[in-house]
This record gives sequence, structure tokens and C-alpha cells, in this order.
Amino acid sequence: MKRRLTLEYELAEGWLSPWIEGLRKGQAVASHCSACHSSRFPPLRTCPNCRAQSDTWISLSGRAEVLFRTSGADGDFVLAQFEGAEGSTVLRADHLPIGAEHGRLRASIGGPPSLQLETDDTR
Amino acid sequence: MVLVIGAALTPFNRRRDGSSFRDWSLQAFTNALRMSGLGPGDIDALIVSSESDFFTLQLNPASVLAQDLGLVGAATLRVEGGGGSGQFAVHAGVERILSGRSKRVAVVGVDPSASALGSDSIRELYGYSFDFWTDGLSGATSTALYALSWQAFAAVTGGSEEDLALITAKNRRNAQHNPGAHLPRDHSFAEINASPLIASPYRRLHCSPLSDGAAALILCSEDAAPEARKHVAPRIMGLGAGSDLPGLGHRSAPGFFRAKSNVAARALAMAGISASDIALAEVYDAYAGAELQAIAALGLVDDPLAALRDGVFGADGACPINLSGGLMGQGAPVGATGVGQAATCALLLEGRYHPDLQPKAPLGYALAESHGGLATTCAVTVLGAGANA
Repeated sequence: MKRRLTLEYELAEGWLSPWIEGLRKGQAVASHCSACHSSRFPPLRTCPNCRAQSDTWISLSGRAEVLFRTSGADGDFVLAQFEGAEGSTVLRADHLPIGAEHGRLRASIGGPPSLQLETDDTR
Repeated sequence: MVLVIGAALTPFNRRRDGSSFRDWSLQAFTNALRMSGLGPGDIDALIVSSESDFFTLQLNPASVLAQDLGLVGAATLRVEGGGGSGQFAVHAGVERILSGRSKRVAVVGVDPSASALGSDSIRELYGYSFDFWTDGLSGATSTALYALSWQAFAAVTGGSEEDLALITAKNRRNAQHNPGAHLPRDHSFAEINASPLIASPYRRLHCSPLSDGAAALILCSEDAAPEARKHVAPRIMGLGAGSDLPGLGHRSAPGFFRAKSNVAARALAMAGISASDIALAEVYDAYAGAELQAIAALGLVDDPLAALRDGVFGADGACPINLSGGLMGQGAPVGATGVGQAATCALLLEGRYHPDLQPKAPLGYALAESHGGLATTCAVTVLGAGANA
């Protein structure tokens, strides 16, 4: 028996609105914990260091260092460390040349918000 | 004490015979119930493991399975924890008995992971296994995330593509002796290393397949066990469950399965044994490297890479890992995998497993473990041989 299911979601962004809006513009907006002064990109609502609620948002430079990269039929992705943030971030890397050691957050122009790293022309 | 008085698996593969997940569930349950010596009327609770309604198109699957299995009237519960669903369902059944609310519990894991949906739909659905709002917004697939995690692990430990090939060949070779396995193969390293690149370093043959199938356990409190099973049935000795940050990059060591380490320690402490007491394990090998990362997290050996290269984890090694073939060889009907791992360990401990894979020497303890996400929600079960084994 064949059956087709078509679903259209309207997903509320909730507390992540500043992060999502930043991705649309290509601005790296990180959550910040005032208790232990750590910043996270992507954001974390509860600080993993001190378990306090992250209470503010800060803007990062948007520049990141590539730690690891994977390529193949599933696409091209990196694990990258953003300046000013603890931890690292998984991003799509279609617009980052193979071998690039650094990149910057790419704006999600004309599409849904996404995490992409592109060539950093400012360096 | 909770006994495993019945255990059964259907074949794991891609069904082309028109049978459905409800048929496979009945087959696994019927065989497990026959082994237990009980009848449907003896079962007072049904725990169903199924990862996603998008596979079965059936919300509340325990309700229809209770009817199919002759268990209407029993308490029903569906458990979901991503790839760890089956192991969490086993835990739910054990805990129900330990709490005193049930005496005899059926645990059924099932999913039509291979035949219900096309590959593009599957790939998209599995993308939602991770934090949709963070890693998910990169569009990274499951394979890409596991590949990045393996690279982080290998950068510290020195793991290589040769090690990935060793694991791939071992698990598919074991599967050749499992008549219910999805991918029984005798792969050469050249064949593995020439398969299509999916997400470097992972190639097609380093990945587990998606399968259809079911597995079932009949769990029982010691005082309610049939006399014929009371002294020979394996027992659940320890449970451990716990979680990690879902975002790969949020972890201080993205290559290491921290939650799995914590969970294994809890399960072993509950069992009152150490990792070195484990005779064999069924480990969550969604990808070749994930098996080695899991072995490292479980603490089964001091140096996992050296042990792998020395053959310690082979069928004739000191600590066989994934004698069934694991997810890579036996296959992965997601809701059934964890239940199947526990069933496999129980059958091995009782000496009832496939003859060519059954170790000759008596076994003391076995470990089954799986996880959801990228070792984000983890569950470990320690089983021990029956009192008269």
C-alpha cells in the first residue's frame, strides 16, 4: 500500500530568536553566562560549566578556526572553533575551499536559517 | 533479581515479502514466549520500543501490538530514545519488575527501518536525531556527524582507516555465521577502501544498514519464573543510563563518549563487577569507528586500538565484540536493535546462540549497550549467566 504524508510546520523560535536572527544576517550571536563569563555558539540555555541559566547574548566576530573537516556524498562539513566562544560548532562548508584553516559565518540569504562557514576575506 | 526467561529475534534484513512490522513483532514475541514456557495470559505488561512513528505510521504502537500479541488488558508503554530505544525499553521492563508493579513483562522492539521509506526521506528523518536548532541547521547528516567525532577521536588516539576496515571486516565476518543477519560478508580491505565515500573517512561499507525486523524478551521476577527456567535463565545484573550535551561541538572532547563511560560505570557498579569481568559485548556500531569509541568509553580494555589490532575483539578473541555481526553485520531495525542486543547476550550466556558463534567455554557476564543521537542518551545493560550455568 502506498501512502504519501505531506506536512508543513510553523516552528516557533522561542528563546533562540536572537541566534536564529543572527544566522539570517551572518552575525554570530552567542549565549553568555554572567555567572562564569562563558559564551557558547551555538547557544546553550543552561551553562554546562556552572549550571546557571545563560542570561545575555553577545556578538562574536564571526571568524572561526577549522578543527576537522569531512567531505563526501553527504556534503562538506566542518567542526570549527569560533573566536570568543567555548566549544566548537558544526557547519556546512560548501563555500569554504578545501584546506582552508579559517572561515567566517555565512549569512543565510534567501533561504531558511543555516549554519555555514565561508571564506574569510577579512584576514 | 530479574530473569530473562525468553529471548528471540526475527531475521534483520530488507523485507520484500509483504510482511509488516506487526507480523515481525508477533513472530519474535511468540518465539520468546515459547522459550519462556509461559502463555500470553501470564504477561502483565508490554513495553514496546519503536524509534519513530514516521516508519510505522502508527502512533501508540503498543496499543495495536497488545491486541496482535494477545495481551489486551496488560499495561502498555512505548519507549523512544533514538538509537537507544531498545535498550531503554529493556530498562523500563526491568525497572517495572524491580518496582514490584509487574511480575512478567514482554519487551518487544520493532521498526520497518528499511522498507517503509526511501533513502532521501530516511536521511532527512535521521537528521532530526540531533539537535535540530544547532547541529541540525548545518544540514549535517548522521554519517557526517559521526565522521567528525571519529576524526576527533583518531586525532588523540591514532586510530586509522585500517582500524575502520578491521572492525568492518570483523563484524560482517561474524554475520556470516548468523542466519538472521542482513549483511553477512567476507570483505577484503581493498573492497572496503574502494567503496563510495559518504563522509570522510567513512565509506559506504563502514556504515550499518537500515533493516526491518523485531526482537523480544520475556522478563520475569525470580519468584514468578517457571521452575524449568528459574535456575538456568540469564539474569539482568546491572543497568546504567545517562546523557550528554546533544551538540557535538559543545562537548569538551567531541571524540569521546563521556556519557557512555559514566553509564557503564553505573551498570557495572550495580552488577558488582568490573569491566574486566565482561566476557563479551554487543556494542552500538552504527559506524565502524563508533564501535571503537564505544569500547574505549566502556573501559573493556586498557588500549582499545592495540587490542583491536591484536584480535582481542574477534570471535576467537579474549573479549568478542558483536558476535552477532552488530548493527553493521546483523543489521539495524532501530527500535529492535537494543532489544536484540540484550536477547543475543541472553542466548549466548545460556549457550543457546547460533552454534558457530557460541563460545565453547562457559560465560559469566555479558554487556549490551546502545545510544541515541551521537552517544547523547546512553544505556548499558549487564547480564549474568543463570544460577546453574
